Amino acid sequence: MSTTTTSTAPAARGAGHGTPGPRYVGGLIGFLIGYAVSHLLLRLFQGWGGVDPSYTVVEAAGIGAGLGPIIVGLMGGVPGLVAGLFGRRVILGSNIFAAWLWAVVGFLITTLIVIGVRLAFGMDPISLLPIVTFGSLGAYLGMTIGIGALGPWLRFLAGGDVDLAGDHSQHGAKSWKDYFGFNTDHKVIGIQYIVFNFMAMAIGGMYALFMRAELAQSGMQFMDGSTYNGAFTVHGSVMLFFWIIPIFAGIGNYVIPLMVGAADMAFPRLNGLSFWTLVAAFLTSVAAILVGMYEAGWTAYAPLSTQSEIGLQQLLFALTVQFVGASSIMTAVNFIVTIVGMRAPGMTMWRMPLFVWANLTTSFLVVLGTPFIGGAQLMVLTDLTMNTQFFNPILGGDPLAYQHVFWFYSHPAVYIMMLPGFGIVSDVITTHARKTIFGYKALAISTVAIGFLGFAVWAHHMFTSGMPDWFRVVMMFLTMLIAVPTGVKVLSWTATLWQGRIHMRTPMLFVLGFLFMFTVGGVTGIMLAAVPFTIHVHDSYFVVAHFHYVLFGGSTMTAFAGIYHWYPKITGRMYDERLGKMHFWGLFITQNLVFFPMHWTGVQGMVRRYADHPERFDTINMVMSIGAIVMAAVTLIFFYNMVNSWRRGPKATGNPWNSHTLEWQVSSPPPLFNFYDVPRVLDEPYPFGAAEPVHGVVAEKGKRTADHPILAGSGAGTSQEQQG
Amino acid sequence: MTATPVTHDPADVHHDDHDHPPPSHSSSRHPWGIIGIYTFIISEIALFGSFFMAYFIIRVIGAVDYAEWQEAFAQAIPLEIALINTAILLSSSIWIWFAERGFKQGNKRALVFWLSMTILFGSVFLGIQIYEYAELVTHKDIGPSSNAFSSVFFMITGLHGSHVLVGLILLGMLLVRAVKGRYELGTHPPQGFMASVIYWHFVDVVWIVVLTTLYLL
Amino acid sequence: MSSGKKIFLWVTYYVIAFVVSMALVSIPDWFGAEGGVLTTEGQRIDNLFWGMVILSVAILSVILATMTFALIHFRAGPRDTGDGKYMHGNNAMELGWIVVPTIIVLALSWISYEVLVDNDQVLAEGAGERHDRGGVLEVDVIGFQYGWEFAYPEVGVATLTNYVIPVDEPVVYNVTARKYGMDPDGGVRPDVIHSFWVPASRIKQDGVPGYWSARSWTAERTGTFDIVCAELCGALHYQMLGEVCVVERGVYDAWLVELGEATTDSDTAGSVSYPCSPEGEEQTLAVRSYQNDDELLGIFTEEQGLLLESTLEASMPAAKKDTSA
Repeated sequence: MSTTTTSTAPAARGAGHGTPGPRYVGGLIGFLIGYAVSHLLLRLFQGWGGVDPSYTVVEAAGIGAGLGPIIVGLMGGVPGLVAGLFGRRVILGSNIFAAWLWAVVGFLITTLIVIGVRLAFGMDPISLLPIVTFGSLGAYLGMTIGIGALGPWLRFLAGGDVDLAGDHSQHGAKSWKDYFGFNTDHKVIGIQYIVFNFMAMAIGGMYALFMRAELAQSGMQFMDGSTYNGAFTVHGSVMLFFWIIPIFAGIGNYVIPLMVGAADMAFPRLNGLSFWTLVAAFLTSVAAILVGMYEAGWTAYAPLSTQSEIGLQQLLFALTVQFVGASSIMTAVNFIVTIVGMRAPGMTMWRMPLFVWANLTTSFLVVLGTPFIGGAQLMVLTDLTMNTQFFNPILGGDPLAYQHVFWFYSHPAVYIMMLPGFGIVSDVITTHARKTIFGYKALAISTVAIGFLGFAVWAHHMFTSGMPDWFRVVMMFLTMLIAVPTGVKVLSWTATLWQGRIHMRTPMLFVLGFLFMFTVGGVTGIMLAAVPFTIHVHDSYFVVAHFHYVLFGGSTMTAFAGIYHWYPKITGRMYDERLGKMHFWGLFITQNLVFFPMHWTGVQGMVRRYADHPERFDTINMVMSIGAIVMAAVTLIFFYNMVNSWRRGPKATGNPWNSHTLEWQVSSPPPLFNFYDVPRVLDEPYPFGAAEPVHGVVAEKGKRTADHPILAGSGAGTSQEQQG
Repeated sequence: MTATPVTHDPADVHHDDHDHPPPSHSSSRHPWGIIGIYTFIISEIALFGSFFMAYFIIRVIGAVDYAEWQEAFAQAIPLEIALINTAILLSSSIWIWFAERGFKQGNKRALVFWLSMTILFGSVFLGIQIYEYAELVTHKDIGPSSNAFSSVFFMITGLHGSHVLVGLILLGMLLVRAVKGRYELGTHPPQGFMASVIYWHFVDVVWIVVLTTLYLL
Repeated sequence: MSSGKKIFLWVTYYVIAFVVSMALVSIPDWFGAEGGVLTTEGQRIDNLFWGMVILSVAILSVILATMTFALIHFRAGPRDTGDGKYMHGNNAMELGWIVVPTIIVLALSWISYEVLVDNDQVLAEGAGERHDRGGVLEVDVIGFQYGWEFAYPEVGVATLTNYVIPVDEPVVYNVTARKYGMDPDGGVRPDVIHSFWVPASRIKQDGVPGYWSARSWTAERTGTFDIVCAELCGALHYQMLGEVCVVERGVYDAWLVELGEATTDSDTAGSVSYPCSPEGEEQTLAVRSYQNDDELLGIFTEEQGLLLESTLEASMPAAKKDTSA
């Protein structure tokens, strides 16, 4: 594999910059030039357009409009620094520095186009919101060109002679630097996602700690209402868009091609692009935080989110949502085509591991649902930039239109956040209880059923909104029905434990913890389905308790289970089991400590999204805040374990858990293209306890699948059916 | 092309296997690119769906009485031009079908000609749409910010128009590759070609829905 | 282990799980805030809640019992590499745990529906429309950034922040948010969504600009009870507080008369005494009168008057301009 210009620091030294001294001077000069140009450009635009300083966070700090040019100057200075330090080859190559440069250039070019068009139509040339909107698209395009994602495609589309499928130049990672660039290897992309997601989780968690610091006592100690609103909005948005939804994209990206016996995803380049689109979304979100934190909640209801005072932040939020949605949809398309079209011979639908079933269903939810949040936020975007009146009742609009469109996605979204986790549970519980899954078909079908039903119940988030009364009854009934397939799953998993041989390793602990936490969250969900009760507790801490139990105690626990379970496969090392257990128990105890009391405070009338609370809630809030701090400390143990074990942990075999799905039949980590020959699947995915358990056969290096002893000998595996 | 079936070159497995992937295998009789484009189109349908959903709520369920706004709205939107434009756009679907046929028959001139016609008709459609917008804004004083119904109108037709634009760009790229002779004519067109054709048909179908919902109902 | 012993153990674990969970869940005082639930409707809701809690604990205990059993009796030894029993499922059990939960949720839906119908009975009085409810007392609730107004249609006067109602009588709340407000550039725009919640009543209703949404409840004792806003509405969302003052019928009647007369001196603004003033303090409520819904839903200051006429007309479609009233 030819290396890209990512790891070119050594090469650049040979490119004419010899000793360090002149390089650093070159870097400094480059930085100053880049800084000066960008800084002055923004000052020029600000002067021309009379930019309102209230859009910058600095106004709150009393500094005035000066920080904007400084920040923009820094953005322009970094490419200059890199150019000076590492030379032309780096800054004009395909790597993150080039991506940065081209993003800035892209932003500039689209800004000039916008200004030009506005001048041509006789409008005021400098208007911040349109510039930011189109500028973000230009920056995105520039970034994707600079990172190397679009090169081959553009050449192809311009009529060049390019072999897209056969070009493996961007495939696989030879050094750590490759993880910071564009790659087409699903294993590399999976790791990029996972590491990125944990970083986002830490950031989201930090904002939660801000909130808990303020809530520990009544009265306002650290921040004002606006800042608090920003804190919970950032907490929620970052956790949902950059942690829990994409972590399953990351784990799925790594595991699915291996599980179905494929060499990679169906569209490897699209796969890489979807990761970098998520990064672009994150940077857009950071930009929003820099200008003052978006503060209308992750739900961003209109007409609050269309108020012009918070317009720039909400615009950046709307743009973030578009990028996140695009990334999600790209991944989902990839998953669907891979699962439908790339399964190894012999892997019928009923022989797929349940993790694959889960991701297939989830991907359909993503494809069908995500455009609805894109659309809702697009309407907010046009309300802010073009003064459309979708939600303005004075001019015929309807604020509830936003809620219906938004929740039509955001309810299936919670299944997007949970179904892959359900798949992980099935795979982990069978392996570590050494028992085949109880009710495979029921679990597969209930997954699809939940997916379907999930689209029919969105308005249970709107019981108090003022929509027609009869509609609430329909929604209540359908919502309660979802408990049935979900109950089937929980009971099936619990029954899988029965007469198994349970190994209490860390992945299993997380699954057990999940079973408890998710059941609690599930039954409070049934309670919330009862309209009269929700009329009392809607927008109270009871709801906060419910969704943290299902999202943290549910989804996040399964994500951790998957990380620990597949850690040996991904890293080639074993994690430290003791630290893993400490992590689990610490999380389990603190989760209940922090979130269970919220059921009580909610019923008592403590309102959600309140920066302050009545004094009678002081003690319990202090307890919860202390619990949150301990939770954060425990998570540090996890990070330490992950990093330390990757570097120094004992090497892992290909199949440390003695499991049967295809990913465990190759080395840890897997070969560059996963398999040496197309695997052949012979039987069910979890044949634990069978007389001669086999799921599929995989060729060793230098051999063919057909030569495998099981195939060459007696033919298909002999598992006996038995009713338990 | 359809995904290559399992071709087992015994020589493959004797090389150092780090350099290339194992033979590809498809578990579906449909080419991956075609499954992919249809999946993507589902998401696009959902995107349009979100706007139609908003329209439905604003017009049917919303607290505001639509009748009050309907007359002004209906007066302003010229149905005749919309119908002519519909004919133009739908006929472009026929031209692109001719282009596809030209590809399969190995007829490069037909392929290039009919692709160009498709692009031409699509561009005319867009041009008329833009003209209609200009008329509405300058002469009838109705723009996206006038009221909720005009917002819906401009956004849905605008969303459709931007999809037409993307389709035109895709077709343009097909045309460039056709002219440069990058295609193996006389066979079934490759996945990228078919995906663009399918996308163009999708754009036409959406227009029918837009026409029915906004103009006729 | 024999089947009988398995069942016995499982049931034991179940009972322990159930008892321990119920004990834990019973520790907090769920219903005692502000002296207990205030309304008839709220009482039904509290009963429904507690029933669901018991049901939830019963369900959770099934999982807990099974997990406990499995973790005690099916643990793998330290060097155990064998597999568990080879079984794919149990049709009878799987059918059972589809049918039984379905019955349970259907029953729960039905019970909840009954509570809902009972709680919304008053809304069907008369024509079931705002200000046409067969004589039931109505209060219009208008939320705005950042406060509450309570309008009494009988007298055409609205109070600010707090309001007064009689005890033991159903009151219907028509809840909305201000429709006409001002944005920083001086244009007209609607307010945001708020939500009117008196936690002691157990009833809340979102106030959406452009909507009149109705809920009702009957206070069963006198006193003062907190009002909070329960829908994120901006930076001071957490300060959008108020108080409802429940008094005897006689006191209410007298107060209503005072309310009706409070603005006769000035066309618009005035004040009334507050029957629930704390001991030793004589608090008053700010009030204003209004002639119609538009005035009620618009920003009102002595200087600004109404923002309605000129700006609305300008935004109507051009074709309609001639025919608009």
